[in-house]
Amino acid sequence: MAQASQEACGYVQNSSGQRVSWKGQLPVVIFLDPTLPSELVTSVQSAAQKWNSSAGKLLIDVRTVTAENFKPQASDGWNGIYWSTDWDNTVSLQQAITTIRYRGNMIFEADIKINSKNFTYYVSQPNSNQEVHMESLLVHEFGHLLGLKHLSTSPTVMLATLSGATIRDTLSDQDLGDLKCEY
Amino acid sequence: MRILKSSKKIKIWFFAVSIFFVCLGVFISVVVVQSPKTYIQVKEKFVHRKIASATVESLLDENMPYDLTGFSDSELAVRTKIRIAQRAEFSVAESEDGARETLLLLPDFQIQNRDGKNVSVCEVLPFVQVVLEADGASWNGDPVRLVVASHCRAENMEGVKDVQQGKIKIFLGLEKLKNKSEVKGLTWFVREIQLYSHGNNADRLKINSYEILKIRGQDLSVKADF
Repeated sequence: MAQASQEACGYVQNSSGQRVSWKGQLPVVIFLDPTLPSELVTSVQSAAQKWNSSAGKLLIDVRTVTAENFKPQASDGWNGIYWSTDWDNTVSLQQAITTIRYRGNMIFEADIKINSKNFTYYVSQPNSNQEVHMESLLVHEFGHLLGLKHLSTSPTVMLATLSGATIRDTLSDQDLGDLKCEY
Repeated sequence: MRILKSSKKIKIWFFAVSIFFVCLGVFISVVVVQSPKTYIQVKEKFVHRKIASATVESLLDENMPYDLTGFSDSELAVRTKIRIAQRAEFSVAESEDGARETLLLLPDFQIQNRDGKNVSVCEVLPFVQVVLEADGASWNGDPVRLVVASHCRAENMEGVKDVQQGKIKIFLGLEKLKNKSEVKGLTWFVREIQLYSHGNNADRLKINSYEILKIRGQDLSVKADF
C-alpha cells in the first residue's frame, strides 16, 4: 500500500516522498578501512560522537577491523568507510562520496569513500590551505549516512562544500532539528 | 484657453497612439502567429506548458495514431505526449558478441515540419534525451541519476515492415554500470524524455514522470537485474 509523502526535514526522500532513514535499525555499525592513516581514526570516531551525543543515543558505531576481515565495497548490507586511492577523475573535486541504499523508506546500507588521491587531511593543524579537516568532513558524511541531504543555508554541517583549512564540525540548531525528525 | 487647447491636443494624440497599438496587436496575432514560418516557435511554447487535465483525461482512452498532423498546436502537444507515454517500453537487445543491452523504445509518429510537409518526428526533432533516476540509492544526498542523450532515429524492429510501427531506439548503457556495486540491482525510473532540435529556433517536446504516470497509470521503470 502506498504511504503518504512527508515533509523533507532535510532528508533524502524516496519516490513516494517519504523520508529515508535507518528507522529503528540502530546503531549503524560501520567498519573502518585498515588502510586509513592511524592518526585520522580519532577524527572519525569523534565525528560519530558528535551525532551520538546530539541524539542522546548511539546512532553510529565506528569499529576497526583487520585487513583480512575488511570487505571490499559491495551492496551486501555491510557498511564501510573506505580510504580510496583510486578515484574517478570525473569527480576529482569531491572530497568524499557517501552512498546510501534503501528499501521503501529504510536505509539498509551506507558506504563512505574518502578521496585520498586528490586531497590530504589533517587532525588539528593544517600544513597548507588545501588540507581538509578530517573531523569536519566526517561529521558531514555521517549526516548523509543518516539520510540527510545538502543544505544551502548556514549554519549547518550539511553545506555542500568544505574549503581547505576550514573547521565546521559543530551541529547547528538546524542540524539538531533535522536529526530529531527521524532519530 | 491655451491650456484647454493643449489638453485637447493631448487627448487626440492619446487616442491616435491607442488606435495604433490596437492595430499592431491585431497584426501580430493574425499575420505573425499564423505564419507557417513561425509555426515551430509557437509550438515550442505549448510543449513547455503543463497538460491541461481536462484535455488529457478526455483523450486518455484514445489509441494515439501514427499520424498526428492536422491538429491544433495545443492538441498536438497533448497527443504526442500521450502517444509516447502509452507506447514507450523497455527492451533487451543482444549485440553480435552476445552482450546484453537495455533499450528504451519510443513510438515514432508523424508531424508537420516547417514547410508543412508530413514527416517523422525525428526529422523535426533530431535529438533525444532520457533522464533516469534510481530508486533505492542516494549519492551525497542526491538522487542517482543517469542522463542518456542520442540521435533520434526511427526504424522498424526486425520483421516489421509497417512504417507506422517504427521505433526510436535509445541504448541506455545500464550494463556498463554492472560492476558498480553502488547501483547494482536498482530499479531505474524514467523521469523525463525530451525530443529536441538545436539552433535559434530550437524546438522541444518534453514529457516528465508525472505526465507518464498520469497517462500510463504507472511509472515507466526497469530493474537493472544483471
